[in-house]
Amino acid sequence: MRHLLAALLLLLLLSTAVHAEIAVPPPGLVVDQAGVLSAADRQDVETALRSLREAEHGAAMAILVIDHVPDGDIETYALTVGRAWKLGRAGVNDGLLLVHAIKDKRYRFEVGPGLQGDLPDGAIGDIGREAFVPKVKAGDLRGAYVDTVAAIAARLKAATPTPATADTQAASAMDAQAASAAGDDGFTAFLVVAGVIVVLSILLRRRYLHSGLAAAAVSAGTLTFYAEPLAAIATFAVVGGLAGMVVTFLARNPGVFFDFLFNIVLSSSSSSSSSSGSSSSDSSSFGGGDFDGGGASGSTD
Amino acid sequence: MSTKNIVVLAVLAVLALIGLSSYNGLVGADEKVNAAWGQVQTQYQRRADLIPSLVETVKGYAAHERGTLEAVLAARAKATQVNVSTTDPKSLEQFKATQGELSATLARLMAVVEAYPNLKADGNFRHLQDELAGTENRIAVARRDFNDSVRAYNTSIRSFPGVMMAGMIGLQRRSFFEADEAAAKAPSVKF
Repeated sequence: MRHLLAALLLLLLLSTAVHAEIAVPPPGLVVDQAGVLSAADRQDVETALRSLREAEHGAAMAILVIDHVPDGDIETYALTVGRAWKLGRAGVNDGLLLVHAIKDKRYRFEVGPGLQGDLPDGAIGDIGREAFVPKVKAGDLRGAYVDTVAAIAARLKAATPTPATADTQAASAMDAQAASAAGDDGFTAFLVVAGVIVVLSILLRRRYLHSGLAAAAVSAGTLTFYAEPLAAIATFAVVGGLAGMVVTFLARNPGVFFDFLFNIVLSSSSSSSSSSGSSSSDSSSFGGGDFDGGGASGSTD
Repeated sequence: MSTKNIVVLAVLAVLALIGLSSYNGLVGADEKVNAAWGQVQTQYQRRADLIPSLVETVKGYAAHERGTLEAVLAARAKATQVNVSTTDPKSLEQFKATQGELSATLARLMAVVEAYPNLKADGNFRHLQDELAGTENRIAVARRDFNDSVRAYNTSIRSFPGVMMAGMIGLQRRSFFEADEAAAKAPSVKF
């Protein structure tokens, strides 16, 4: 009991330490932490962003306005925020984030990989220099954001169908997702079969036990074989040999087992906290897109 | 069926499940490292692909900087020749060294061109500059993602129950990719 309490305390400490790395503001279309936009201005910018989102060749764009970059460079900060907000659709990665640090006089466009074919670094760099910076220098922030969004929309609309690079990137991302989904399926199938066999063995008489065990091993192995051949081999090996190993191993390293339990608690608590975090936000607009660090930064000096 | 048999059966089932999920976890972590490494290589290659047109453009305005331009091309040739594998620490060192050298020569070139206002005003050059800055950032991100995936992988093969499975299927510790930060950071020269 005392160990459990100690573990929980440690857990609490650890989870706060992880979250303290870079503070990410709650997501939104326009997040104005510097308080520079009036309600009307903000609505104009949001309208522009919404129409960009709904366009045929659009982008899931958001704007974050801050006074200063909290820590480190604006590139790392923008990437961290973009990934935390999961801007853009999963697999398509058509998110776009503008971070404007007003008092630092710095800005950064973080462009999702799926948009980089139509909107290469040079193009977004031009938009920053030509549509964004002059208006910011003139003190017209509303105009700067609205014009920037309009310039991006025009550029995406004019662009020819997405070149091969973006396509292959999106395709490989989807392949990776499909592959991990297949692995999960194999495991689920194994779980179901193993569960059924265990229940059957319990229900049946003793004389069926050995055939039940064999059937469990064979059917679980066969089923996982189609999903993942190596996993099938591992299943056989594991059923045969793991019991003795675990016992000797745990006898030698009791601490490791404690770590294992601890990790289970840790992972379940972190996943539940992250899901509660995203459910409180505007989840419909934030898909599951990723960023690779492409885009352009600049100074409004 | 006796209670003893049920218990044995249940223990075996649980063990099998732990073993299988541990195996899947390890393989997943290993694949993530490989994918992250692929991304690192892709981004370095992207930078190498940018260099010929960058050099051509600079040459048009700053033919005097022949030495700097040739140093960039030589470093690029050397960097693209390295055959790298993450499981071979020696080739990884070599890859790191040659790419670091290319970063340094590129940083020198970008510092030198600050003295050529006509070049800096050239739209094509500005796009190349954007692409280069974006790609340097992509490299930094890919490197960080790779190191994160290696950290997760190394942790999973050293903690229970992965440590047992890793021994069984022969998974080894992977090394990090820490590039020379001093060489990678471009000097900020202002005139």
